[in-house]
Amino acid sequence: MKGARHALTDPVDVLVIGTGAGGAPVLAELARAGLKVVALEAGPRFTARDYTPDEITAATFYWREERLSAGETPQAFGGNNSGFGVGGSMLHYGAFMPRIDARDFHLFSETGQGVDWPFGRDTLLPYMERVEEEIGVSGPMPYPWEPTRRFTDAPPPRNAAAEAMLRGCAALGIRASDGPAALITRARNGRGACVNCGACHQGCRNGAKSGVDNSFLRRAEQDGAEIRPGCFAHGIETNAAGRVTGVVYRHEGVDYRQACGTLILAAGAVETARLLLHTGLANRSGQVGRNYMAHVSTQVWGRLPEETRPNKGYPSLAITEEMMRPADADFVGGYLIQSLGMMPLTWATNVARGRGLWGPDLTRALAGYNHAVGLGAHGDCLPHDGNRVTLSDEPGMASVPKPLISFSYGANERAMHAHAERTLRAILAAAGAEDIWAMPRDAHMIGTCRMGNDPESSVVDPFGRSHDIENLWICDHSVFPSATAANPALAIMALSLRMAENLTARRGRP
Amino acid sequence: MIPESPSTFRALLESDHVTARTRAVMAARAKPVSGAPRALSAEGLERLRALLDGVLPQGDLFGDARIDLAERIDARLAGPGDGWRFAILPPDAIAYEQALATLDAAGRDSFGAGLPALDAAARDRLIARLAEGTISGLLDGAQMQRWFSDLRADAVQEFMAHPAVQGAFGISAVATGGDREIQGFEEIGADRRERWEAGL
Repeated sequence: MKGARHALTDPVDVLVIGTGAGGAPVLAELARAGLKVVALEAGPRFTARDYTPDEITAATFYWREERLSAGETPQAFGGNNSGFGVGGSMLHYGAFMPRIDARDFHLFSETGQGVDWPFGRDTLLPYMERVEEEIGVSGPMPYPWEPTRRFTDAPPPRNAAAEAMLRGCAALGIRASDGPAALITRARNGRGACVNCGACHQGCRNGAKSGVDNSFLRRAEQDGAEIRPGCFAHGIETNAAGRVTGVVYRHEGVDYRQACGTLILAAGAVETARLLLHTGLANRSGQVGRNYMAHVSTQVWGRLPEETRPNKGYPSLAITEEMMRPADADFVGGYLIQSLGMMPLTWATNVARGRGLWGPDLTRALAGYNHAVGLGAHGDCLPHDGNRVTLSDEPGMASVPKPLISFSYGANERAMHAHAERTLRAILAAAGAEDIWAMPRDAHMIGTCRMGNDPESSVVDPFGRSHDIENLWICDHSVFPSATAANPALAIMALSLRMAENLTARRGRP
Repeated sequence: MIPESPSTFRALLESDHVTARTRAVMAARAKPVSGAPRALSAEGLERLRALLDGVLPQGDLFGDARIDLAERIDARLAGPGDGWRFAILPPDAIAYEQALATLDAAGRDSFGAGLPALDAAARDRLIARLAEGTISGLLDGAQMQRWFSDLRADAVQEFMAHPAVQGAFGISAVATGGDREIQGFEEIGADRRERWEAGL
């Protein structure tokens, strides 16, 4: 392959598929440890400065190969979902960076529902702290729900949505605060300070948003890692002993094979499961693709008499963690609330899908953009038998079948959504909003390759190594035993650092 | 006739708060799409135009001028796609063609004319039934409802992306910063505008 620094037949120590939150930190750590490492990325390498806030054009870094969405609450993919490019979905993520609540690691022990993680928050905390320090996370100190949490940067200024949420929460006696946002407000390391442009989801042009492209991947390449963009992995080769020996990938229409000593899948909960189902590997448990979960991500919007201009400012600054275990809950687990600014097309799409309007009512609703104010929830989700990723019978890229994702809310998700809708409506009303409407919604792709101690009920061990194939590892959102309420990037990156440590230790090298 | 952006918005696009790339994207979008139809049949495109006049009317905003959302959606259907579809629907372009044919047939059944020939009242009654899920044919009622959700999403995206609409609504989202300096925004709370947003 043109431009490849490592010979394809010469086995690299570790090959990583995916350069997002799962793949990047481990790549950086292994490169620093002196291993010969290569990462394959399906999408291109972008230049941050060239990003455009135009939402249609910016869609180039979304994973736009068609996915089939089924179930009673079929999930929307495409926009603001899986990433396609060096840096993965963190190129377009919202940078909202709460830590997982300690209770969410032990939902089964607490409630008898869901499953426990094979370790608790204390195990992951040091790795989360290392991630936060390396990439830069802004927030208020002391942070109300974890006074010991340190932030590298002060919070950015509040936009109209954050002001409204804090005002509404104050009126209702709900503790709320500026939240944890993975961006820097002091320029350093070639990265600019956040300029409140509001286009986080369209790509950060000055490097203020903390991605892996401007942190772990940069370091990985400095330490000798090779990243190959435009490479879609579609085959995994094994030897008679069942060990992985290499990966087949397609680049500009031509197939190549890269030999490797160890393989790490970090392609996300849909693509990692898809590749394993397609190759039939690592699935003695029959669990690959199962336990698919998505966050209960209810949104409520309203209209303020004042101009809000929702495109301006860091979009989701305010947070409350007061609904993590609400006293009047008729569900298990909990949810986080954040304020929402939003770019115009994304917001208009929510109006189109969420309000059921058409005709002059629809045009008038869209005309209200500059007065819109929103709140959003992210809540835990229990695994259900019917919720899973399977292969459809339609060929996709490189003839790998397109994934079929079935997702339906169960009773717990419905109850949580109803609670969240009531709460968010009350906060917006208390903030002075009118014409309030709600939309059920789900976000993030979770599960499909659960980690655990039992090879019968999980796909990988608590460090991410396959129970079936000793040189195959998984590090992305697919290994999460439960959804938790937190946005996923921080924990995925922390798991990635932890995996790197374990992987190098098991190799008996530094 | 295509609506034009107000002069204040055109001035914003020309300012140093917008990059050359974004400016070019908006300039291209202000022009009609060439080569329509690309994905739909000619009659499918005509039906889509007629339907969109009822689903997302532009008259109050632009008088007799119109953004041809139908040709923009047709071009989009011929492009790389948006990453997903409802599993109960066929691929997007086929779903559009079948749904529009289903609506057209329902118009003939109920009002004696296909979609493009219906008067506004009959068209709107058809759209109301589409929303209720009581129109079926090549696609069933539930499929038609899902498709209607897709249609509205596609329509509002093409609508809001147009410089004439962003200008009419006074939206500053393209002005995140320029090529030389990425200025962003300083005035971001409620009822606060940058000096250069004053005329929007």
